[in-house]
Amino acid sequence: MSEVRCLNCLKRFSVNAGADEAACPYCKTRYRISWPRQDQPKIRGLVEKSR
Amino acid sequence: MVWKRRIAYINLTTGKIISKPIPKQLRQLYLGGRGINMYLLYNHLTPEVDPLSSENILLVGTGLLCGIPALGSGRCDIAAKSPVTGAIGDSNIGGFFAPELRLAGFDHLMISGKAEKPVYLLANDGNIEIHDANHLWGKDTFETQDMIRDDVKDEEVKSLVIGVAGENMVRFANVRTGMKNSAGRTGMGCVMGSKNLKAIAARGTMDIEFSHPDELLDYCKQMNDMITETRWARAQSKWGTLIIYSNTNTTGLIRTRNFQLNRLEKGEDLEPENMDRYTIGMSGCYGCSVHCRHRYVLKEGSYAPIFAEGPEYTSLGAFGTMVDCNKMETVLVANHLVNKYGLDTLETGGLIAWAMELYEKGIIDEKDTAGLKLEWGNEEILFQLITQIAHREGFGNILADGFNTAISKIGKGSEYYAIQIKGMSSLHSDERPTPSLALGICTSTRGADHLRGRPAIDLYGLPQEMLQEIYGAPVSSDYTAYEGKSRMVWWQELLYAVTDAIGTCKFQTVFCAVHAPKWTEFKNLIQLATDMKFTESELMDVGERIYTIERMFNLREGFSRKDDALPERYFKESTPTGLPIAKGKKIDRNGFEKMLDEYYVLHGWDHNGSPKKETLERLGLDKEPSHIV
Amino acid sequence: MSHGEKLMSIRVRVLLLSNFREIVGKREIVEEVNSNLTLGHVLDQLGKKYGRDFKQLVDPKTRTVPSEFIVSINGRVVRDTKVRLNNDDILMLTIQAGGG
Repeated sequence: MSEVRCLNCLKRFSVNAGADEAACPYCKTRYRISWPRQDQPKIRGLVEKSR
Repeated sequence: MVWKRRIAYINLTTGKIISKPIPKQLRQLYLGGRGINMYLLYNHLTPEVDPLSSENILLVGTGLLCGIPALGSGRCDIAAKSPVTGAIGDSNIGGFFAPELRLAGFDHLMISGKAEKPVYLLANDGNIEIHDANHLWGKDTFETQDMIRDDVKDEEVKSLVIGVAGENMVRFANVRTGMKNSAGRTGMGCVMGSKNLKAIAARGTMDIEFSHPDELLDYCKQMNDMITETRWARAQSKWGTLIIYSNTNTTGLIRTRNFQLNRLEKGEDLEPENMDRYTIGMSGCYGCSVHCRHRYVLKEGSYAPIFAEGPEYTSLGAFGTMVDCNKMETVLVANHLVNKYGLDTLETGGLIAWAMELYEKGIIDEKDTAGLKLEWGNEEILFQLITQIAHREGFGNILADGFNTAISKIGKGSEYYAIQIKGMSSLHSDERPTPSLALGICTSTRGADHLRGRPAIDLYGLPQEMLQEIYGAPVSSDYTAYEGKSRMVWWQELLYAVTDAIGTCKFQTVFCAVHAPKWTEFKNLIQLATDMKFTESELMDVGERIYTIERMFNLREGFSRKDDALPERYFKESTPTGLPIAKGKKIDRNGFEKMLDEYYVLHGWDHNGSPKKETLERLGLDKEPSHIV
Repeated sequence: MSHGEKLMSIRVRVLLLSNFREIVGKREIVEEVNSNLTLGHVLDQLGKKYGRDFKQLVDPKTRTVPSEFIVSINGRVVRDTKVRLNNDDILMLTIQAGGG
């Protein structure tokens, strides 16, 4: 399963294949996603507010 | 073997890149990392060049032991002539970049000239290429690393990058890698910006060969056990360097409101246990068994969400005590902002605290600050000024040039309030009760600095016999005393020079922990990794050689004894608060000058701090510049 | 103390840092002891109340504070636990953690 663990609420959630961003369905925190392997997403960081 | 390791010469003006092996002779004299970088800087830089001109050179060097699985061996040394001080520019960075550069086939890079337009370098398995970086220009330090990974289509690429502060040639812009690691001091990011060099990336699948791998692995295990058994390491892996704050703030050794107080009253929120509210785990650098970095999430507030690493004790001072902000969240936001923009946390905090005191004293007002009310503890002003400095906007543009230029622009006696040495801000520690620490910040070759020669263990009041065993002669156990303290600083300078040359973490030698690896363990590791044989005293000579060639560089640039000086406030204003031992303290001028005299003698330098002829001959420095490479 | 000198009760502020703070759950406590008692007595008393980490503050053989800890009285680091305490003395208990 292509899952990451939310850094905020610590729940696991799945990420659509190849997605650049994903939101945790539980706490709504948005993350930037990278793919070290095709089936392995990794959280790069939070999507920050632009200012 | 180590003799196959290479140095690459990259000329950004011409695009020419060549590489050569690093001769054994140079390894024996300078080991690697900071050692070889200092040799190269002295040999290849024309005296008196403008640090921001294309004639300045930028050096990147991995430590001799880089890649061993112990002692945080992923350190990388970055050097150039400093745009902050005009003296040695040198900063050390952890993380994972250095081992990756080694795996890519290079130990040292010497970058000269200036690219016509933004570029980045990519070192990959024996090759170095210059890539266009137009699309990276304007990006922050996190985005830049992400985009390079996307460019190269490899998540394992590690990069040294600059942020907008480096692009804007803020004099104290830093170089960053990963989420947290920074080569903060002396403005190496500014030098990269001046060369239109946005990043240096590395990806390698080559081998790092060691002479006696099995024995080395066993010995590394012993080293890791030695470190993790210390109470210091257990505390660091839980609270990070924030643990230091409890000790120093409770005693009254921490400068507050720039330099007006030596303890932050109502500073409870900055105590290390309060990081538990934000921390999601601890992380570490390559080859580290301690893991002293908080990884934190800030969920609320106008700057949320923030996912970051840190803050170090340094940032706690820079954006906490020095500017009189007593909220952990303020520090966490400011820490993230400077990391994102690529600014040295300490220089930024030091300059803002100075400006706040000038504002309080009426030396500057809102006309000077373009309407900013620089009031103590105002976090919004702090965040605004950080942003202004990085973008060279408003009053931030004055501060962006560092103390030397800002003092000359503001004038009106502002120099007196600047807590800087050789033009570089000092840490937020208040050294008035601790003469050894005061001497160390003065003699540092890169300007006020606690990582060049600080005898931190002086604060532990260790038994006399133990101190004599470490330092080789009697030194006082009393941290308020002056006796023997010059020896402590001298000895620590040699130890840290060698630590930076082998590329291990200072925290994992005699810095915070007394029973940590030092000369004997270093010589054993070098022998197992490279087959080079040193005695303890020969290794100390290597430290002496590195420190002395740095001194020679500074002398050549016009620095001398007069620059090894404390700000006048250390002699004139007594500490107003703290535990009884720390209260009412100032540095005794005669005592200080005597320490400095003794310190020069220990190095084999004359009364003015110039190395004596016999010292140069003993260290083989009488033939410099020798241009071995 | 000379024979017959009157024993008084003195109060010592004990500032708790690092793991000592974690164990007790407080930043500061006040200990009352007889004026003829030494630092060692106070540390022993704390050891009985709070357990192992506090007991380790005194080396049982040498009756000194081991180098991995810092115990200071009014900011001055002490290793010899035979020193006498005075009323309102401030004791700080922590571990080796320098740098700044």
